[in-house]
Amino acid sequence: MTRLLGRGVSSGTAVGRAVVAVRDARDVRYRLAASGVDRERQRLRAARDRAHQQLEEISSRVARTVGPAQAAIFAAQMLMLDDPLLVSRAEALIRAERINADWALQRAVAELHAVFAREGGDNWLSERVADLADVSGRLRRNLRPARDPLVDLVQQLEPPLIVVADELPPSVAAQIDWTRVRGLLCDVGGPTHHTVILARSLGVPTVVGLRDATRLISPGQLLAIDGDTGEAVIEPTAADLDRLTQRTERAAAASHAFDDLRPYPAETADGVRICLEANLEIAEEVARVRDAGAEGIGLYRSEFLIDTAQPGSLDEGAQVAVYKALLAAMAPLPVTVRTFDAGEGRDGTVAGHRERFGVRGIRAALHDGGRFRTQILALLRAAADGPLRILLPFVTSVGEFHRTRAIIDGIAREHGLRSDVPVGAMIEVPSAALTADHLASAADFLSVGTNDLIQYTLAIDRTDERLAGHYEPQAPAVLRLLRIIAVAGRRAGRPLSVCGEMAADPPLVALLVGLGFRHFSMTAAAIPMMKGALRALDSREVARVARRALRARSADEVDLLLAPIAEAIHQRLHSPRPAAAGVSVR
Amino acid sequence: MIRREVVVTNALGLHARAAAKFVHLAGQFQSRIGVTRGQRTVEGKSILGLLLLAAARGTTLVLTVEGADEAAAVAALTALVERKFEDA
Repeated sequence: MTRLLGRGVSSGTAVGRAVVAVRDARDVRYRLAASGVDRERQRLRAARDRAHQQLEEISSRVARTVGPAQAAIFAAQMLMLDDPLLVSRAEALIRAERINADWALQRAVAELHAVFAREGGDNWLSERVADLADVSGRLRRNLRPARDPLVDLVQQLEPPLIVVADELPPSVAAQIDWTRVRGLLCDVGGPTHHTVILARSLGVPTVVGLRDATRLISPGQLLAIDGDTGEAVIEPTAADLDRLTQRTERAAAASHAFDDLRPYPAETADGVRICLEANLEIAEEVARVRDAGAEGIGLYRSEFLIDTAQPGSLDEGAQVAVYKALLAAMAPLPVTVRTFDAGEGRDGTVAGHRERFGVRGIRAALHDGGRFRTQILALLRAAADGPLRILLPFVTSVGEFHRTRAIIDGIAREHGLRSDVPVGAMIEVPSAALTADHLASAADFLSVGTNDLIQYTLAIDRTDERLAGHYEPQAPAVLRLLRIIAVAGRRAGRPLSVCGEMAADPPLVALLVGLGFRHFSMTAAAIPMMKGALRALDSREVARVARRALRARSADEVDLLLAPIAEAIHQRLHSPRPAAAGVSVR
Repeated sequence: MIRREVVVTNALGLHARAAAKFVHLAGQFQSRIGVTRGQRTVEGKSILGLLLLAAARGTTLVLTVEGADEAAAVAALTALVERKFEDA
């Protein structure tokens, strides 16, 4: 039994067998059934043949354009491909240890690198180490099918499973069959990573920031995890499992504690009405949103459609069907679709970094309009069925908003479609927050994306787990921007909601109510609990606290100011009396 | 079985392209070919094996060849090393 401790980011406990997915090395490791050995060897040989063909092409091109001496480098690489120490060794490992081809190849390469490192060390060896890395990388890429192998693997293994990944991109997470996966462990990641948001909305217990879980956990090992405490136990004892079961039962009881609040509106103790909508990532999950008692979909993150669709299949018709289905499932409540924000922090790589500051959100729409135009056309067509709202992500100036709106109006005119579909601006960068008054008069509604607003304001990369402790939603700088937005929204009389993860954290919601926000969109699972929490708040008291928080010098100081309110919420949420007690009947 | 010592004399030693030539040539013979440097013996038809020998200029290698065409193989391979891998 080994106990690891990370950061619990999605509530609940889970027990299952480990599936280890290491994307750093681009390998998925698993053990084969006896019958799978031959197929796996075939797969490795096929990859070698493809690699061979590629090298032949490269070699002849180089011979033609550069010279035969340079082409010889690739002749040497082809010999490495055929070398008994590489592919044959990996094949032997597949047979002897019944491990998959990717894993076997990784082992064979590691053995070679170890010998090179031991024998060489001087400069002239590093050249061949680079060649070996090049060849093995090519083999690995050829082994990898178009679809992430983890997706298929989850289908093949016996559930319940727990995915252990160094980093799981949302695009892969969106394709996984989560009915077979009970929990998720990640080496890196923070609470606002898209995969974590997805896990939370699916109710999959998740622990991140474990650093070396993928190294310490072997495929097939039994794991017990707790998404609240951040614990992950490898090969748990009976006592561990007992403890976890008890916690699961308590959590199940707690999740029903607020069921009796369902028919009542969300409001504070002094009767200030608060509107609670839900965020949605996977369209098929819409039933969960209704069950939770959401008053609409405040944020449908449509880019998950791109991730889950087969390439090329996401045409206008397919999109119209998805948006209409959402409207039908929620009718008569409103559905807010955020247009594709494909650039949003998809991973922690350099490319991801560039994407976060590069062409994303409506920049992509203005930059390369094809995909955006198709989506707008689909949205306008679907809007005939019900109250659909279009939300534009990553707006940085009012000029940008006007230009985008002109494109939308043009599309509506061109196709003779409704042009009164509300178009809103997402406020998620400081430049938009500081000019929220202009945006409020230009847009039909505003929506604050706190995840990005915090990231850009504090210059904290939210995928960098070393900075996790510095990601402070309650930082005075963030609160001051939020105040500017709240005032702008009220003055212009525009609907204004908050839809980041901040909106699902009761003490922070108290602060937001104090700043003047009345409309929140959060993960559906948090809605019943939030209704309970709101009933612990007095709107005048939270307004007083918010005013003081705006003058605070640090996030810690804000925490101190919030402490009595947090305590009151805690009492309310964990008191044994029925949650509906104290509901005012008017 | 034939054993023969050869000295690597080209400037870069037994680097990747030189090793590739050696493996190509070795592959044309039926015989089993071993190449030894000090305590380590590797397969003469394995480029990775040869590279592992890290044979710099001046290194002495021992070729051990066994098989039907062993005489021809030893002659050809020795000649290749002595011709500095034809300036590969």
